[in-house]
Parts: sequence; structure tokens; C-alpha cells
Amino acid sequence: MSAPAPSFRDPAGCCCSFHGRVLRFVAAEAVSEFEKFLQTNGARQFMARKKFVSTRRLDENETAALRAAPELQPVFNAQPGGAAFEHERIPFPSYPHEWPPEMLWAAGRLTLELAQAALADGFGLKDATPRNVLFRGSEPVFIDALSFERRNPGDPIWKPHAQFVRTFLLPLLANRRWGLPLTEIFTTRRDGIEPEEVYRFCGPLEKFKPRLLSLVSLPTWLSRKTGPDNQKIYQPHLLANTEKARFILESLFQRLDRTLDSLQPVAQKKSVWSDYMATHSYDDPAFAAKEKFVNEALREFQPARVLDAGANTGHFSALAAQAGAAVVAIDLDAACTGAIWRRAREQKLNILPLVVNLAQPSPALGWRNSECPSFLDRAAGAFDGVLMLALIHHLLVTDRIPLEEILRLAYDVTNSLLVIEFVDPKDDMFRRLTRGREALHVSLNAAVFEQACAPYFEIVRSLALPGTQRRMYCLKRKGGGN
Amino acid sequence: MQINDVDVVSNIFYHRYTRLICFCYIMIIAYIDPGLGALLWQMIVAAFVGFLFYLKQTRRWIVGVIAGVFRKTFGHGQKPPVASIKIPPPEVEAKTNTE
Repeated sequence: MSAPAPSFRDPAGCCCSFHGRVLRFVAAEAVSEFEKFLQTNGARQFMARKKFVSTRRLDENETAALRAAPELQPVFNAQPGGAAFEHERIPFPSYPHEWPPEMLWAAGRLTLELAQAALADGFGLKDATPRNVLFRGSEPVFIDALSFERRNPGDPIWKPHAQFVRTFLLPLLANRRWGLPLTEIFTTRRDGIEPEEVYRFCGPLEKFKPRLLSLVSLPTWLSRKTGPDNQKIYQPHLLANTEKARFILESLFQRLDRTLDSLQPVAQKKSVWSDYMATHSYDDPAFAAKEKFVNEALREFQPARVLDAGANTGHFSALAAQAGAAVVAIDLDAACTGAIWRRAREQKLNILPLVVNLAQPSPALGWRNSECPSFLDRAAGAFDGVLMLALIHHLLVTDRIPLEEILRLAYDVTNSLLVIEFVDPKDDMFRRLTRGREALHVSLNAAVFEQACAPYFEIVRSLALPGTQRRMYCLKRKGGGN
Repeated sequence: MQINDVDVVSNIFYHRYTRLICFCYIMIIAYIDPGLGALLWQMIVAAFVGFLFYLKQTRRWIVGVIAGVFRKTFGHGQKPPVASIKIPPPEVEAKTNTE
């Protein structure tokens, strides 16, 4: 039985996962406003467009059944007299430290759209962090339904502005200008990057460039001039003229919109691996044979959920998605995953691209390591099919992962199918990666590979790719699913 | 230990009103870190945009006054004089010239 790990930062309620259900417990005082927000035009429209997580209040019988569960006692005790709600479950949760810049940008756009829609309905967004957003395939969904509260009509200040800057604008800016990976920013910083931190990266003249001046330099200079003990700044500054307060907020959102637009990730960004599909070592017949082999395996097994490990620009992820699977495509290269995201959006493919290095997958993060589970915790048994194409030599040679370990990992992740490409040490790319360490892999061949597979998988079929030193394997997991 | 009136009152206050106060607290103060420099910069820009709001209001007022003057002079539903000037069609003009 899974112990629920409730969220705890918002005093108005908490959210937890329980037996596959996503439950939200709202404090008694906040229930009425929460329900009113769910009835607003903005919330209903975004829910209809599947941009806002669908939410329903549990009736008394359902709540009583939950109350009987001992694991939920602490949650009910923390919210006496509150109400329980249930959200739809978004498949395979992902976090900002796994997103390419394109996805962070899309999450920021959705956050601003919702903040503007809520303003029109008399509500305010009380936190603006990418952790409020998950992705259903390539589409962002706002999941923290309790992030909205009725706003004071006279308040012209949007308190989460600084958080929006820290968690969306500055990471995008640092990534675009200095190539700082989002993985590094968000793995070590839950609440994004401070203007003072970015300021240190800026050259003397750079500090005066318009975008950096307003996002980085001026906030840094102002915070230096003001003593940290000055609490007056944080007092509400209410205006008698509510129309003026709203005008100021609308203007703020428009400015943030423009800034976000100017930080939109560039489409044609090149990286070491982004041209792989154009420069790979297969000739056309070999690639066609590989494509046919994968297609046949997908048709035969019809996996509903597929993990494409080492997806590159997502050619085979797209094949799996076109075959009807919900695909999670992982690659360590953010430029490649960004390209997958663009393609999935354009072609409306159900692909969730994530920046994950299988040799060093995303760790569990947050308080007690329980706020964001590790990639492997989420992936274990979550897929009916796994594709490991042109990947095994990178794991064997570059990361020095033993062959049996690679197969054990695939066994843990898939419930049924594994399509894997065996790359012989005589292969050009294999030899290029070894850099003089050929002796380490001299005993590896197809027979050894098949022997290593035997404890975990049965071989359904295999195919030598013509004109190459590579062999495709369609494997079936032994002992049923996880 | 004897419970005196003050305790009773404070207990009632605690049980009945603390949650209400907590709720007001939630409504007024967000639980996220509002920053320092970014918040100050937002306030400065807000003051400037507030000034623009008054300029916009003033412009709207001036336009309203001018529209009111026209309405008083030419009555309701009348087009302003510039729009109501009719330019004669060219053939009529040509006829007049030949005369």
C-alpha cells in the first residue's frame, strides 16, 4: 500500500496520491472560494480545453470511505471540517528539471494565460511556479487548482511576480544567453534562480541591456539599497480606485507576456546529437529495415505506453505514437528533446519528451526526497514497451554500464515488450566511442548478448541490419508484467 | 488549575476566530517568497503605470467633454459638422460649370 506524501506548502490545503487517485484536501475556510473559482468562466473554459486539471468534489460517502483509511488520517486531521476533491490523473508526471526549455516556456505561457483569465473573474494566482504544471503528452496542464484565491480588488501588486521571474524568465534567459541547462538550475534550486545570481554572470555592459536591466540589474541594485529588515515593503498597498489596480495588473501581465515571448527558445539550435538522423551511419536499406522491424513489433504487441530511451529527435517515438501508444521519449540532449516537443505539438502526437540521461537518471528531489520521485521510481512498471535503439553502445562504452545491468533495468521498466538494437564492437560508432579501449569489449558478440538476455527476456525475433554490424531484437519480458 | 474568564474568552476566541483570521491571512499574504528587488521594481513600475492610468482617464474625460459640446451644439444623433458636409458629385459640378 502506497503511503501518501501530501504537499504541504499551501496553508489552504494539500494534495496527495492515494491508490492511483489524486486527492486534494481543502481547508474548511477555503472550500467555498475554491468551488466558486471552479465555477468561473476562465476555469471552465480552461478545463474544457484540457489545460486545467479536471476536478470534482467527493460526496459524503466517498469522503467517509477515505476517512476510514488510516494512511489518510494525518491529512484529515490537518484539515478538520475541510472537503475532499479528486483530480484527474495526468499520466507520467514530469518536473521542470526534466524539461527542455520549450516546455518551460509553454508552462510559463499557460501560467500567464490563467492568471489573466482569473483576473477577469476577480481571482488572483497566488503562486507562479512551473511545479503547478504537468504535461499530458506535449501539452501543458495546470494542476494546482488551489493556486487561485479571490483577490482584493484594490491590490495592484502581484506577489508571485518575483517567483514567476525566478522560475520561468530567469532560467529561460540563463539558458538562452549562457547555455545554462535547466536540469542544473532546477535540480539544485526548487524555487528557481535569483536575480542576484544571474547578475554575477553579466558583463559590465550586459547589465544595461534592456531585458537584463529590468529582470536582473534593477532588482539587484534595489535589493542592495534596501535593508533586508524593511518589512514595510511587504505590507499590502491597497488602492481606493479598483479600476486603476486592475489596469496596473493587466499592464504587468502584458509586459510579462512580451518578455516571455522574447525568451522563446530558438528552433534551429544545434547540438552534438541533433543532426544524428541526417548523419547516422546507416544506409537507406538498413534504416528502412530497422524502421520496418520496429513497426512490426509495435503492431504485434500494441503497447499502450512506450518508453523510447535515447530517443534522439524522436523518429521512433513518432512511429510508436502513430501506432497509438502514449510515448515518453527521453534523451540527455535538451536540443533533441526540444525538437521532439515541437514535432509532437505540430503533428499532435502523444509524446512526452524529457531530458533524462538513462545512465544518470533524475534523482528524487524535495523535502525528504519525496516531493518529486526519481525518474526510475516513476518508470518502474509504467510501460508496456521499451525502445532502446542505438543506445546500448553508449551505455556500455561511455558510461561503463555492464550489459546485464542494462537488461535488468529494461526488465524493471517494461511490462511486456523490449525492442533493442545490439551494436557489435566492430561497428564504426562503437569503435569511435571506445577511444582505444577496444580490449574491454573484445568478448562481446551477438551470442553473448542473447545469453545475457535469457534470464529476463525471450527472443521473439531478431534481424541483422544489412550492411551494418548491428542486429535488431524483439524481446518479450519473462514472468509477465511488473 | 482554575480556568478564569480571560482564559474562557481567549479559548472561545481561539476556537471561533483563529481560523477566520488564518483565512484572512491566507487571502492577504501569499505563502510564496515575494522577493525583494523584484517586488520593489514591480512597485516602481506600478506607480508609473498608475500615472499612465490617470493620463488615460484624463484623455477619456477630454474626449467626453468635446463629445458633450458637440452633442449640445448639434443635438443628439447629429453627425459632427465635418462629416455632415456633402461634396457634390462630379457630374453636378460639371453641369454648374457649363452654365
